[in-house]
Amino acid sequence: MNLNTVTALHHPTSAAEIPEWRNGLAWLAGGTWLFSEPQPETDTLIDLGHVGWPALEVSPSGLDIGATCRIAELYRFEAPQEWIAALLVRACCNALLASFKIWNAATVGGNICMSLPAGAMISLVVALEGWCTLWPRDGTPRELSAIDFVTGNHTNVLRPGELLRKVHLPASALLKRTAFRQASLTKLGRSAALLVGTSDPARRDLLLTITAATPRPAQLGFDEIPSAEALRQAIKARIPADGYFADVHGSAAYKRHLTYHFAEQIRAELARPETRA
Amino acid sequence: MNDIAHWTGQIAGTLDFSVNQRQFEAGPEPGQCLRTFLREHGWFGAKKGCDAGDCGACTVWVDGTPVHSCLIPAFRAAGHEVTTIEGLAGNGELHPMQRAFLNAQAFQCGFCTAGMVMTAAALDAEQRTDLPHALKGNLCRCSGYRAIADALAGVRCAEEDAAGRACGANLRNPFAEAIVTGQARYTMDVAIQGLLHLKVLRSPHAHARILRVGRGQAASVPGVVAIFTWEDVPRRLYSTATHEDHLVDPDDTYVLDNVVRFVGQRVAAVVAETEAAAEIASRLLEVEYEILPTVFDPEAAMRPDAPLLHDKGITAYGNVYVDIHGEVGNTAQGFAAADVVHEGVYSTSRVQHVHLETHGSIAWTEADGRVHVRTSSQAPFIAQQKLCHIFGLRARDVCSPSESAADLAASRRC
Repeated sequence: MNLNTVTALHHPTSAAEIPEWRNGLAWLAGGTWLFSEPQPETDTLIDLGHVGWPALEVSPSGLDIGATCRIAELYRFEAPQEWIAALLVRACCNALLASFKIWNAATVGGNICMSLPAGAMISLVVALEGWCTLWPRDGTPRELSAIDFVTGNHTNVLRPGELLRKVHLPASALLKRTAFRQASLTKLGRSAALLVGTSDPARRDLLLTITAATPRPAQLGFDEIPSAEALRQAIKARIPADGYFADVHGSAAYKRHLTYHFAEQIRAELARPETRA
Repeated sequence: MNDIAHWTGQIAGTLDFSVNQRQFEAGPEPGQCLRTFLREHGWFGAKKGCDAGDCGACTVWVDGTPVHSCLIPAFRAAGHEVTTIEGLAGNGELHPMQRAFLNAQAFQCGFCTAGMVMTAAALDAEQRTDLPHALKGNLCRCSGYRAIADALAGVRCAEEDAAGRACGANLRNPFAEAIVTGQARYTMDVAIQGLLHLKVLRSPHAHARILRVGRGQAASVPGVVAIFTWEDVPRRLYSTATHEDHLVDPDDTYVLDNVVRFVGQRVAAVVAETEAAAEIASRLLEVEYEILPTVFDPEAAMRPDAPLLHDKGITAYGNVYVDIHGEVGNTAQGFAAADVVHEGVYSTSRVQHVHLETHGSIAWTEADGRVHVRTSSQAPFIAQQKLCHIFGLRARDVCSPSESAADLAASRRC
């Protein structure tokens, strides 16, 4: 929709061209959220369309996803064959409520910065042990683990004007086996629970990432595949009974049920010996 | 605040656009989306359904890639080739997908069709194997998904309109060609010189009395033409229901009321030369409310001590307008004679169909003094009667040429 309160637009070629931050400014990436509802507090858009951040960079250390990488570009990413965990990319894109047409405009960074519980790009980068690079308005870039980026429903660690620049997915995580489970209350609807398990084929450990069912991602690490009971206890210890996210897309009880149900399925799947097709 | 104007890269002047292979220069507003920009330049095929990226009625292609034009900043289309439904057919030949929608008659009202065709025509072979997923960004509210799947499968169900054999045949919607080419004109698909826009300020309270509406700041917004509150409109009750017999519904509504009874009820209206000015001015109205007691549960609302919502002398008692009881035959006798009696209380809620075409009206006065109203309604004559009742007009002075999606669906004027 038209953002009628917006009266100015800037197209910097680098974020440094924006000297100071104030209320009323908004970074414009894909724009698919900004333009989806009135933004009466916003008077100026700062277009990130000319900053030239690479979308996807493959290196021996892993994959760097630029914050302005379109979801459609990420979906089409062809990973090196040994990165078997890259299967999660398409699974997470398909878990988004948004149509593929939205993927053509929306960015990976935008989905992460929206910080909604069902933000599947968050699920992806947390499950693959991502590291976020943030550009504060002043001072030097800072890095933090993707698991610490989202702090609650629609809240995150970004300070006013601070940018998410990129997310680094380490090769060590991309080499892992994965198990993915997702469900919605309505067919093709918003995720009520999205769980991912990863396991290092050599170490046979388990890293379980719980998203959508909780206001922010929760992650449980095990040195070896735990027993069903040990897994249940670990979830119980990490997420209190009232720690599930209730909204029109599912009650807390439903999401709690899905969490335990899928967690056990993931545990069982990754406990089985690896089968090569 | 002014120093931001010195930052580099600010848009100045116009940009180069190419829409349906027509090149032109234009300067979209900084916060303008591509959908309104296209419509402003005469491409009405980009429809407004939700205006929030969910319904897909505004789907267009940018360099061949389908996007929801309501979410794309207009400036981003500069330097790219934009294709709307009007540009899909080439050299007088319909695009195969337009032809497929015609053959399968994959629409009723056709309001979703432009976006549906633009999406379907962009699907690759893999996407076509899972249509619910591929088309999740396109809503059809006439429930025509099966017919749309037919179109994609190449099913032909429309029959020829041949003399002597037309009766009982599956004939095409008479607007079919216009619908699949984006030429069908829905309520808002007209360009009118000097059109004014009306925006409504809505209540943030569930129940409140309006004590005062301060207009000073709002009135000073450039482009504002008029501001209306309950004090400026006829104090005449009417019903918003549209039944031929107006006596079957309670007359419980004023055009603008001094009491609001739900969050979102209209409080005041601002008319301005642009939608933006009307929207900004409506936010600047200063309304003083006296908050009144609220009730949110229908059963609680029927209790004797419930806050009274209407005091217009039209209710049977309390908040109850009328009790309706009925039976067919003699139910007491039937129960007495029954071998088994099951008792239960059943309730149902109101359902809104959520039609895709937005509510809206365009009104003007012709030189002969007649008021013309173009409105999205299936009940143009009732709308005419209501307007006459509220504003004390004669029926011959009000003309309501409805041209809505609902009307096209009904295809009454064939």
